[in-house]
Amino acid sequence: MAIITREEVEHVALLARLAFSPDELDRFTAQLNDILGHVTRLGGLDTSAVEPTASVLSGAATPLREDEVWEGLTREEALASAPATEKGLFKVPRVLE
Amino acid sequence: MSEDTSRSRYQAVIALEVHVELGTRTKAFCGCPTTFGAAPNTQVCPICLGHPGVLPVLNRRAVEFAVKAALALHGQVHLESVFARKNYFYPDLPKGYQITQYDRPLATGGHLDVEVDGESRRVRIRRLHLEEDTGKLIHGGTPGGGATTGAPYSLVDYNRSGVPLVEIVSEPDLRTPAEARAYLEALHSILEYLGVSDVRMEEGSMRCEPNISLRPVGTEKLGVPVEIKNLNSFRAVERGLAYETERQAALLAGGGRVERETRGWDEGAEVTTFQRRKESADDYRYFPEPDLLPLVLEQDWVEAIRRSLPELRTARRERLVREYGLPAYDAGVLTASRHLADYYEDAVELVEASQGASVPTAGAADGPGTAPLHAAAKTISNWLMGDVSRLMNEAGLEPLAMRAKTFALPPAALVELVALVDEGTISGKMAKDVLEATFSTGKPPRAIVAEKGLAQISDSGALETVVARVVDANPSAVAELRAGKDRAMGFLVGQVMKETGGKANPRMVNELVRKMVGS
Amino acid sequence: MRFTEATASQLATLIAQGEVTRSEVLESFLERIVAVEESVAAFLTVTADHGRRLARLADKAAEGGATPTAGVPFALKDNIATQDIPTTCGSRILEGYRPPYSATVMQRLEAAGHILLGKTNCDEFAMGSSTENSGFHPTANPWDLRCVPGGSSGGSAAAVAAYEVPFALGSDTGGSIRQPASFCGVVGLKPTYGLVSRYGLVAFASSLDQIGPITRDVTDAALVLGAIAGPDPLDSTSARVKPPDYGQALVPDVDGLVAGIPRELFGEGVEPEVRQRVEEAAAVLAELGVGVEECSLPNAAFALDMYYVIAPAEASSNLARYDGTRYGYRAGAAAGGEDVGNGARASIGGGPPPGDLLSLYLSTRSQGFGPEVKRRIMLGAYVLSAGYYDAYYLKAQKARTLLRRDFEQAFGRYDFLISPTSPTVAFPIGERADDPLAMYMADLCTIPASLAGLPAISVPCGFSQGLPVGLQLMGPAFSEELLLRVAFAHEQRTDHHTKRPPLLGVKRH
Ligand SMILES: [Mg+2]
Ligand SMILES: [Zn+2]
Repeated sequence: MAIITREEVEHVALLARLAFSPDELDRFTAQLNDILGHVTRLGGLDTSAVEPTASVLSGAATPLREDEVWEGLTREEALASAPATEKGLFKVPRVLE
Repeated sequence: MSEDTSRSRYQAVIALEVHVELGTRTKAFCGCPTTFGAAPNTQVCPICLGHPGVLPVLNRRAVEFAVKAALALHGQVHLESVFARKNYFYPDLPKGYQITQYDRPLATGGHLDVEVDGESRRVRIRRLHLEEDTGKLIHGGTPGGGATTGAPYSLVDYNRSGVPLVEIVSEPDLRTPAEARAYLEALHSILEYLGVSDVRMEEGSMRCEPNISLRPVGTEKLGVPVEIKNLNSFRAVERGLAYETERQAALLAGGGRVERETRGWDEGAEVTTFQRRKESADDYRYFPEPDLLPLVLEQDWVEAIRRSLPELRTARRERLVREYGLPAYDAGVLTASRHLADYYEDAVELVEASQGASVPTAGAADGPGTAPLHAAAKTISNWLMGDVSRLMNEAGLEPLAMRAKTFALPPAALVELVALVDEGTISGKMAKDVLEATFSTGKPPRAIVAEKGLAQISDSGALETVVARVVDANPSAVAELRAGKDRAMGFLVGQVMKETGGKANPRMVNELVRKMVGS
Repeated sequence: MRFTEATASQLATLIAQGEVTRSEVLESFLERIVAVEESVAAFLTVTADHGRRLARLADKAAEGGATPTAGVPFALKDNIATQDIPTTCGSRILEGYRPPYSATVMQRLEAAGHILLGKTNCDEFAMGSSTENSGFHPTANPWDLRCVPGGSSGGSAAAVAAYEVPFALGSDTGGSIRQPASFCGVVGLKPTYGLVSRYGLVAFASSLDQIGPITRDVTDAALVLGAIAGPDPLDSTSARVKPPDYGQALVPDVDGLVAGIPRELFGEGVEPEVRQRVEEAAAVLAELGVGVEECSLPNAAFALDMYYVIAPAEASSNLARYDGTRYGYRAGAAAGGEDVGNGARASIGGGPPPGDLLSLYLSTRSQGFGPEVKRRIMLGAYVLSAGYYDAYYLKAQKARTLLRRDFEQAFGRYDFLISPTSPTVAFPIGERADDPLAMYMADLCTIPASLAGLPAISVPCGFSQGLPVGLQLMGPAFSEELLLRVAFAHEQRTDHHTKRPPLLGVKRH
């Protein structure tokens, strides 16, 4: 039985902003099921009394930076890699509110 | 059924989600400056532009400010909190996720007391957390270039990207639009007093997204909530919620259903309009931010911050009454803004210094030495609540502007104006003109008086000549006055004022007339 | 003298003694690159002009009596940011991208006077174990040009193995330094998580990624690690630990140490000849006085499962920034956009950008990313999505805690652990390309140390069918000195690292 259906794959694709052709969807659905099938073995582990590891640096605290200005980029540098710009701004297709 | 009746059948349940930009020098996770109004994309770096490979480092002051806000709201500050990623795609979100706090926020609980129609209500606060702001989208045109409606593109400015925010979420304890506004104003005041933000709704440094649902009066179950965006002033919050209350009530009364959606407030049309449906597709896939470790606060630091909390509005209001003998109403108006209150106290202190009066000590407020100070304190209050406030409104200025070095009417100027009236140099009526002149030109009141030759004629020699001439020219009025008809006095004084172009000191004219007529 | 045969430390000495100039060294490597690159294809960018300029300046400064700088050429995996120098991560979505800043490791190597010679090929965004997932071209294994060099740091490992550069940096998320080092017969060190700054390393899985050296011998590994390790205020996850002088670790004295061989990493999947070579290496260590015993890391049997939840989850978020807005590829920016699935249509480019934001996102990302990257983004988005988070992501992070406990327990008894770096030697190009699960198995032995954030080194320990076999040594957090010492002792007693790849110079095609 499929762990993830083709419809779910389509939904996740939209979440991740990826588009697939029907063939690709079939292939990805099959491959994701293979991988997830393997991964579900984790369900067999008893983790009832276990804290998750978010970082291996357990116990450490995030360092704090002083509120001091660093040198940043000039506008020219900031825009240098952009595919499209206009008057010092990054240009994207119209965002409908 | 009329709308009014249908509305009275339902009770609104309102919760407020407020985002406040913290007034740090630099952004939350990089060292870019946060100056408002800089040219687009000039306050950016690889980190806040989300370039490949960059990492965040948390700003200590942002944490301090957030803790301050949490403590002032009586929240429980957690010594360990965790940053998370909220994943969604939007052009103003450079990394494709926002660094925020999710299941382990900086603070939970707390409350805010608000007053509506003289009654105090306690609104519970659910949580307060730290996060980063997004960039800014400019739709269909360039800033200042005029809106090209329907332009096929939007433009992005990332100057605001990464500016630290606190998000403050209330419990659904608010019942009316007026309460919601009062809550927001109280919150605004606290944050302003704390000095953690410039809290300007118009500039977006304080943003409020209420959600509101209706339920039949007398029932408990919450209705379907609608979120309102685009509320850029206290007034808009109140108006928007009022509109939404009516809209939902009419819908429910007509047998309709409220949809779970986001609506936008249209300031011009004074209506809310549909923006987007809340769908299950809103799946933010939160998970702990692996580029940051947990935020761990030293208990000592939190306590030091607690001790450093400034006097907030209520305490200051009480102190102004106590120390300056101000009516409670005046103290309430003056402390509505910390900046106005600061201005006020600066002015009173200048008077105090010039009077050489000793600082009134607690309990000595009614002592004999404080009377002149109290009188001056009330006079300054009157000016601030009256003409100054009117001029500020007309100029579209907020109290913060009064603290600027360049403000045209610094406290010393107002004190000078009061002194000019006090010493009889100008009349109260003239003072209003002088105030306006100072306000618009920044020239000190004395300079205005000199420049326009506004000083009252208080030279008794000069006045005597005029009074004598008027008395000689109006024998019948003089006779009436002698017969005890006081109305004639008004006429005679008026004639003197006319001859002096209104500059005569009315009190002296009065005395001179009586002396000459011998009444 | 053929400078290309010398190690980084030998070159540093020669340069310091004035035996050779930096420019001469640089030119000999550039010649070598010209000679073999057509066969090996290890590089995505060769920074010849940049290198020549720096070498000339440094030589001049040295002539003028300035404190001499090292001047050894090096290469960086192309997922390490280099200011104004292309940094593509092996992805079409970053083709032509020149970062506005440099990674901390780049700055540190340059500060020490080392000279960047180029950026090496890798699996796209470091996702893969063969370098076949590069968006540009595959890289060949210098020992057999028909085989993969391993991955994802395959370009770095192949470049070092082919004498194109004395050392290179790679990045390791689940084995991406160690496995290609093993396949190419060179030394690869994955440091303890937090020892080397990640600032400027393009993120794949942030809680696992580490940069480390790929070198021809253990001495160089110590040298390079010393140059790049240490706290960095730009990386909040960098450990506030002052690194020791790793050169001090290079003494062949391991008498009395105890090593464990976790049976979970030495099971059926391990090829017989690989098993044999590792056993021989263990025997060498035993001769040197190391006590070797079999041991167990029970949860290591689930490491692959944890990894294929955690790494894709973080990756799905890390790769959200490639949206065609601020940098990189944008669909339709050039003429002739193409249709994509899901009913979304890319616009025809030229003039204003596509009219619809969603379709720009969909087409940019679908055209810009390769299949393996998309597979992992999908997997990651799925395991984080509403309703599945607890069952997959949270479960895997909890299982990760169990695995870390296994290691803690093992290190209560053993000084270090031994395993093969990879269950197999290099496999033929194309063999596993269509079978993701089979490909994932290549990292079976390297993933456990990654999940636990522990240091591990791969050193050559012989050959199987003419292809190099790697020995993996794993230690407790911040035990790099110990691992280098053991690796050095092993290297002193063997000659595997002195063998030259036989097929060099043979052109492909
Ligand atoms: Mg928020
Ligand atoms: Zn920045």
